[in-house]
Amino acid sequence: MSKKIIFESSEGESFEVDEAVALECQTIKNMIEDDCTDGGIPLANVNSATLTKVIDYCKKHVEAAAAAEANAGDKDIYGANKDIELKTWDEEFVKVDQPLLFDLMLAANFLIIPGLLDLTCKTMMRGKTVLQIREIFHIKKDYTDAEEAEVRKENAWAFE
Amino acid sequence: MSITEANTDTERKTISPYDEWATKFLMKVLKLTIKKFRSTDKSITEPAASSSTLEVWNGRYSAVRNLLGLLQMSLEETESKWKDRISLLPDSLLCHILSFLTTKEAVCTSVLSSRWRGLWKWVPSLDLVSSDFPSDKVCVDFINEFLLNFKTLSEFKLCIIEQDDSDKDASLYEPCLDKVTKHRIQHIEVVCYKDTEIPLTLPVCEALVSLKLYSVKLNDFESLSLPCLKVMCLEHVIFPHNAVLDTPRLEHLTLTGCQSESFMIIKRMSEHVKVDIEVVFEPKDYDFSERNIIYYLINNFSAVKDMTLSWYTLGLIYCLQGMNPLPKFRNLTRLRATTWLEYSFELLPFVLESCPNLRHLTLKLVKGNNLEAVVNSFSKVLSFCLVSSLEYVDIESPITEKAREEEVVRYFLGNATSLKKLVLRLNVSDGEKHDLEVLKQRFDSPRRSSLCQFDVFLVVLTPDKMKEL
Repeated sequence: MSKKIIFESSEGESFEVDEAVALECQTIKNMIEDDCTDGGIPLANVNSATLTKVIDYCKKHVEAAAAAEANAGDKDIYGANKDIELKTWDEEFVKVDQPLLFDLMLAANFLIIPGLLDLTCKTMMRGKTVLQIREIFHIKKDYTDAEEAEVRKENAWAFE
Repeated sequence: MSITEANTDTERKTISPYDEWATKFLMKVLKLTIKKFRSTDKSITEPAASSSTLEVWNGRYSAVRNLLGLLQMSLEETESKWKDRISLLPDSLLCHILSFLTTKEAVCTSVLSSRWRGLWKWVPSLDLVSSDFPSDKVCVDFINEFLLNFKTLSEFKLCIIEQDDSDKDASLYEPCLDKVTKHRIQHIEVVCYKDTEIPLTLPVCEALVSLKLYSVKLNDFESLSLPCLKVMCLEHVIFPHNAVLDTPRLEHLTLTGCQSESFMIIKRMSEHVKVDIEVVFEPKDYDFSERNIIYYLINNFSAVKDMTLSWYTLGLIYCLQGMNPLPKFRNLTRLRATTWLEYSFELLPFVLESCPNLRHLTLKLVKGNNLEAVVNSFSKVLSFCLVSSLEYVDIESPITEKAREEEVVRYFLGNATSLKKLVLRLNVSDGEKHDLEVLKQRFDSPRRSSLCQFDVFLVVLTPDKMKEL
């Protein structure tokens, strides 16, 4: 039996995970190394819904890494497919509503999960127009019309 | 956040009209509840008649308290949904988000609000397409100005596209590319779709991790050290003749369309380097110097463990036969190769002979147009790896009338002594009906290795793809 680590979400809900899964988070890894994980790790700024997703992500990536290792000999035949499979999984994983995606990014930033941070940051704005970004993130324009015209003029090529 | 705070002017800014209505409605409900609560509060200050009435009041108290809590929670939830949370993030995280956008997209975020105005300038990477600019000059000026911000740059991606009114040659970009390579750059990708190759001088780039070039002419150098380089992908790149590259950490090398007049020597590569070579080289007279060029180019990879060869490269290696000593890939354990079915009977034994320690072979067989096979059976002389090291063979092939693919499968199953697994992937077109079991029986043949597993899969291709084969 592998060692278990207990996370506690902001709602006080407990989540038990394998140590290997928890080690995907650099922050937790440091805590485990310093031996201060007894009695659970309270994550006051991560809610249950987000934490569930974060654990899903870490689990999948630990499993994928283990599978890749086990099949190292067969890599030529299956290696390439595995990579594609994990990528597709990642793409599906981030098809969530904007607030959850945002929370996932914050959690990845806080727990230091580089893969998840890149994945969420990448999904955050890519392929969206300025109008869409403004709408999705509720960013309020604080420019006067003259100021906005000036900003556009500075790099007119990008707005054409 | 308390309920009263939520109603201040600053908060209202970020709340939508619908939300404002909802807030007002909730506030009304709350005020009414509080009023009721107060009136009951008065009554409770009166001396309690009995302990049971007290309990009743206590029950009402907590019910009201719960209601208040719920209302506040839902209010905060709707509020946070409409709040601009992203602008509150630290610069570093916002820049990380922007780093995944093209430079054009990142620049566009400057009109969002004053918070975003200069953020894109702090992202240490560029990803540009020249045709987004009114002219090549504007593009070059933009790069030059951007570079002033940074001493180091992590990524530089530039795609130069021929435009109607632009200069035919891309030399305009040369000075600014020189600056880029001096910025302790980590990743460079330059793609040129102009008539002539874009000239580029590579200095010693100590931090360079990946180098991807398409249609680039590398300016003269005798030898160059790229100590951190891990990925090098060169397509239609012209090298200075006899130039020596030292890339001790190189893990992935793709060489496509390298030409005869330009070949280089790669001094060192990582022990685990993976090489993918497609030489497009038409030997004119197969004279001595031409043969040497091909030989030395291929000889660069004689110590490689993992290699992919196109059918053209294979053809060239085959041409070398009898002219130069056969290049041997003694360390090669994995080989992926594409070859024509028509020539497979003579090419395969020859290739296997060059790789005495091969363990994994992935073979893609394609049908050549109007090709006439010269040799109609496999040589009886078996290559060394067939009777010793070869363990896994993966073959992808169309099903043809002449059934040469059956011969190829039979050749491996019947001769490979240590074979553990042979996977056959048959190309079939969409909608075609095939019985996998029947196919498996048709292709199966006596196995030399008793441990060998034989699997057949169908790879369904679209009709267009099928025509290509």
